[in-house]
Amino acid sequence: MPPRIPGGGCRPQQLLTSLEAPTPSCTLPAPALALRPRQPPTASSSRPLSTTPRCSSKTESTKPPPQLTRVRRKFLDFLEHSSMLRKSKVLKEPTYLSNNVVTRSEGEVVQRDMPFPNNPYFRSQSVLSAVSRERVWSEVMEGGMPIKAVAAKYSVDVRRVTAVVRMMEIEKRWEREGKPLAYAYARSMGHLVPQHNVRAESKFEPINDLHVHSHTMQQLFVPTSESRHFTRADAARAFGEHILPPEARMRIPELVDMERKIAQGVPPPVAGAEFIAAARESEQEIAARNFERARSKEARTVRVQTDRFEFRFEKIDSEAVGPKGRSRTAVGWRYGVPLMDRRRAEVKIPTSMD
Amino acid sequence: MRQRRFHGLKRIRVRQTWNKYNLFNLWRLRTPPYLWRTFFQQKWTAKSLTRGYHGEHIKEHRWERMFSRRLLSAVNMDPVYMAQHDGSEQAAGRGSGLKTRPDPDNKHAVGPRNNANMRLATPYMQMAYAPMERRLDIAIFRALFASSARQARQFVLHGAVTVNGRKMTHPSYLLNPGDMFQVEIDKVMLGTGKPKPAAKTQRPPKSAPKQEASDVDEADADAEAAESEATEAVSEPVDVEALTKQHQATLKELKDRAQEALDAQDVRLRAKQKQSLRKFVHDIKSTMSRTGKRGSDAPSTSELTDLEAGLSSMLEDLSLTPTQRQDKARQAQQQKEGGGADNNEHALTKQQLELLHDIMDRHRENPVDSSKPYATPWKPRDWMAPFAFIPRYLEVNPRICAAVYLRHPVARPGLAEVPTPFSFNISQLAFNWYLRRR
Amino acid sequence: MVVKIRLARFGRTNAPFYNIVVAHARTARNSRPLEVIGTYDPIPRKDPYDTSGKLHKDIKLDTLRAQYWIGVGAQPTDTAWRLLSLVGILPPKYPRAGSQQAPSTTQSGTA
Repeated sequence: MPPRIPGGGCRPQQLLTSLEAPTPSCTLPAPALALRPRQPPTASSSRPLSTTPRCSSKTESTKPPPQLTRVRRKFLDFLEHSSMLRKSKVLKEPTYLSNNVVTRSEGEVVQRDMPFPNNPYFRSQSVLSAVSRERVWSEVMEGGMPIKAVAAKYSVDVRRVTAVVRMMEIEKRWEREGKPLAYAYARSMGHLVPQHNVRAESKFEPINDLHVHSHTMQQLFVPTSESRHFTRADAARAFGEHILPPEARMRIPELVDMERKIAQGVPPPVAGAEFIAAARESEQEIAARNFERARSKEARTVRVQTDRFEFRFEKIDSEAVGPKGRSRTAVGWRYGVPLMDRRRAEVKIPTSMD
Repeated sequence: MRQRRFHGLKRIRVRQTWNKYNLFNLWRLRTPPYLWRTFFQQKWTAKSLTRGYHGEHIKEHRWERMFSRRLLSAVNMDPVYMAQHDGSEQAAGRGSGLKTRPDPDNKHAVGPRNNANMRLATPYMQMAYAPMERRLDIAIFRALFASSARQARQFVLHGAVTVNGRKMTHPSYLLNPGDMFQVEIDKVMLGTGKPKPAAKTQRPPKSAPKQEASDVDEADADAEAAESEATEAVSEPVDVEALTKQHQATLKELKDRAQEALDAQDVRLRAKQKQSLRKFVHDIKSTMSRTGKRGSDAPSTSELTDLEAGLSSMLEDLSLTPTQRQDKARQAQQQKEGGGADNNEHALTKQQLELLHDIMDRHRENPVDSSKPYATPWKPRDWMAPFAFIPRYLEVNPRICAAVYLRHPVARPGLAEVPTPFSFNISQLAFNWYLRRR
Repeated sequence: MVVKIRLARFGRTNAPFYNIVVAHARTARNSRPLEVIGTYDPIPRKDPYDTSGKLHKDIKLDTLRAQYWIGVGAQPTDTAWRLLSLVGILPPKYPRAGSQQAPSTTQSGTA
């Protein structure tokens, strides 16, 4: 039974800890919100009712002017005072509501990068600029650096590096083909969204993220002797047999080896070179595995070209159907298995696109 | 039941759109007072508020099936810490690390720590709607390819979206980590650009409203006037001669207006720019009149209108914002001090040439094209800036209008990656609602 | 009883998918066959990121078993015959008047 108190969540521990963190004062009743360039109320109330508001004159010119209720008048005031948010074309830097219009009650810090004034936990984080994307692409495709090494050099996630390279390849191809790209759109996004230029020793994002496994979110009481050397690996095993220690789950475990060597006295340039070599080796292993898989599939395939289509015959073994003849990997649509298509809440659209 | 307004002023409902009403509602959104309400009532209110933003176009039972009580989070492991410690120092003593000498910064410090993590709480409750962010339509909206989630949904349904190179027409497709989605460039430009001005039946009165309007507004109005004339001209099937004359008249007017605008700005060092502009306008005008005189190979009316619109938007670009103007002025000053030899009265300076070339390049990339469904040259739509952010779980390439869904959104110390406009308490109450223990 | 090599239709409405099966001639179309020797996806598909617009159809087939069943007298239906003749297990049943030579076959990867 959960606690029936206001704010009692499913994770009391996290709730407690997060309540200690500074929460916005807007959770208190009736926070004071104020427009920064505050205008005396007489100015807005003395507006002649016959004139339509300027902002809506374009679209609503045929309709009768809307009745100026109190809230609408507030709305029009807001539009007037936040006109710097309107002109997306002339803005040359990220401009959010929190920094420009909202001033909170006493003592509260409103950050520049908060798009939502109520939510201090969400920040508009920077994205890689066009120059950075170009540089990452050229490091990988022209410089031949391993992806992990590029990720570690610029502190960009490995998955992001691969995504950047993948999309830059398409961009380059379209440029070669003379396809019109969205340059104008990209330029104005470059002004409106915070940009990050990659440099060595400039952090963009954490690169050794560990997903917090749900098994490890519980508290465990493991009785052990005081003299026991209880390491991370032991802790992982205590949480479950299948839980791997952080060393095995890190994206770039080669970095730990490098740091260990540096701690043992290997000069950093040497350790760095060894790190790059290790990263390259691990990548080549994966590439060789993928290549071998593709090659063996290609060797099994016969392509027959007809007028309209190419028929691809893949040779298979029809007798690999398992001991009972009902193996999941057996060829063909399975017999004796009901089609759960019509069952309620069955997912009927593709779950993956390869 | 009467259908409520999508963006109303009476009921505060924040939506996933780039709308000025929405911005106003976002500004005045606050946590409803709940001290005297029952827990159920609080949760109900929080649920209805948050669902109005997160996938309001999705049926409630579908969201209930998507909801997951497992909230994803991540911690960062510092390789230096990992190399120096094997974790046993945290289990030493009686299980919580050996007590070291008191740290003046942190009273509760128990020896070495993984420094990659900030010592902040992880806001798990802000992740209540994380499964929504996997949906294709919402991811398109988050990648800034559409101005609302509903528009993104329409793009998908109209077949403008591919996932991993294959067309995907289900807006509810749940993206997997590593999926790349692409939206047709024209659709993105349509969704995020300014709308085409509606064709007017009557020629708008030119003189009266213009004089009150401010500088930027005037340039805008110029472009609009030219474009409205363009549409007018295309629709009319009258003789070409008269049209050409009309266009030339418009050109002249544009030129005059440009001169007016330049005269109005009494910045001393703008003289050269004024000259360049005047020269440029004159050149274009003369070439056009020359082509007109040849008679047989007179340019088509659509060409003329496009040229006009391009010129008017160029004028708009040249009338810079005050800060830029000061920058340019300073540059010109420096140039004057540095090498005054090549300061010919009638030639363009190097910077002006560069500026001009830059503008010409931009207009080649962003041409005037009356066949497009949005206003050309493309400009971002109004009220877009306060909504322009890209969460870290997406990697976006805006040039090809493609994005990769890198991973699921996670919470980390001090940050939650799900973009939600609601405070911690509201999100928490909404999460509790969907735990279904009410 | 006659043993046939034929197609059994699975999949959904407007999204057919066939098993290439060996079955007695008088059993129902989708009943459990003697053996499944392959599958046939009749919906032409594009390669991802391919802009040439070429379409292909995917077939999985155990050629050895197909040859065996034909050797012991199984009778392919017309459609099955067409598929088997594409890989050269059988001669074409209805050689087209226009084209003299058989469709070009390429075994890729084993060059």
